[in-house]
Amino acid sequence: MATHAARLPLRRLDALARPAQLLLALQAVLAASAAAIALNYGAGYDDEDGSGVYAAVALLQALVYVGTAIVVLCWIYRANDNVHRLGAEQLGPSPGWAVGWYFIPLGNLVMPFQAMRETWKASIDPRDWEVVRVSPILGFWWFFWLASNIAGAVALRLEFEEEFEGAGRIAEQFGTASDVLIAPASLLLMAIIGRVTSEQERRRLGAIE
Amino acid sequence: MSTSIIDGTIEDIDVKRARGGFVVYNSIRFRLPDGSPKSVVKSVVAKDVADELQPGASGRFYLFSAFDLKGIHGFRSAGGKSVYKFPGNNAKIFIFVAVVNVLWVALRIALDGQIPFLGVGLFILGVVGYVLMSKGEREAKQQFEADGGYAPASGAPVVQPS
Repeated sequence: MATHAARLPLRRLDALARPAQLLLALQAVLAASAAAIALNYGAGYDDEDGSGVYAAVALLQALVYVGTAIVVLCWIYRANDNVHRLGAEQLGPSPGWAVGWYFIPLGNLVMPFQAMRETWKASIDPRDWEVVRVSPILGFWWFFWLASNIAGAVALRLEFEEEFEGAGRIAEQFGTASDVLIAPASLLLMAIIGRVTSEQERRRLGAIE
Repeated sequence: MSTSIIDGTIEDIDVKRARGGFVVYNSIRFRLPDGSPKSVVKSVVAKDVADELQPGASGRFYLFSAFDLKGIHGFRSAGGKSVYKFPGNNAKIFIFVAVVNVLWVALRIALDGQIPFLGVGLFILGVVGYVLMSKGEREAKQQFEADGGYAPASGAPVVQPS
């Protein structure tokens, strides 16, 4: 196969993987804690005079979410960049778009998953990556991620709904569902990051050609 | 968007469907000059190019990947035959989606002052899709034309005998 671009050395991925996994683990713990507090408190936990502990955990959760997003997106960029450096061809999203698609409405339902799947496959066999089988954990991760986001979006919309009485309570239920779903999504993404990082680091260190 | 080249021979093709001037392949398996296999899956090819993609076809294959569409847009055979056609009219579909939705958003704002989020989302997606698809088509054409001087090494088989 003709390759027109000169091969660049792989960029180190484990230095980003470790903090990304740590933050994802923290995110999972906080989400599970928030859900447990909400279920224990019952209806009204998110009201102004609701659970103070929940409010504190939710604030911490938001801060950790932003930090996690930044580190994980940096990891995604670098992991995708590395598979291009490995000489994998016919890849869909570029490193920039592997990140950018998360911010494009509707496109973010499909394209980030495609980019992650290609990164996984090309990390295992960059030369003939299209026939590499992917682990089901990618599909499970994406299912939980989308379900959590959809539940979160519904909760947010209902929270500002004034015409429909009882919207606040339903918003709380969707909010709790979002927390319950983000925990497995975070743990599965930790596993994905671990596997891809391990494959790329082995190549970077010359353990496999 | 990316373009790439495969020099080799088609060993096997698995057609999913052929309709409306396009052929969609489940997979196309190549044998490269060094004897290794290379597969391309879920690719879209215009009929003019697809007619040349048969088991045993040998030469240079030009591939593209744009947005969520992948395929082969050109082929130069070892015998000197050359064919190019970019598959799909997705760029036009995306610009249509963008225009319809910007009109819808404008209408809703004018009529009831509401911003329809779905319309805004589809408008952004349409613009991004149009930019990526039209860029992809342009780069594919440039790649094929820039390689006009391609000729397989005389007397050398494109695929080494195993």
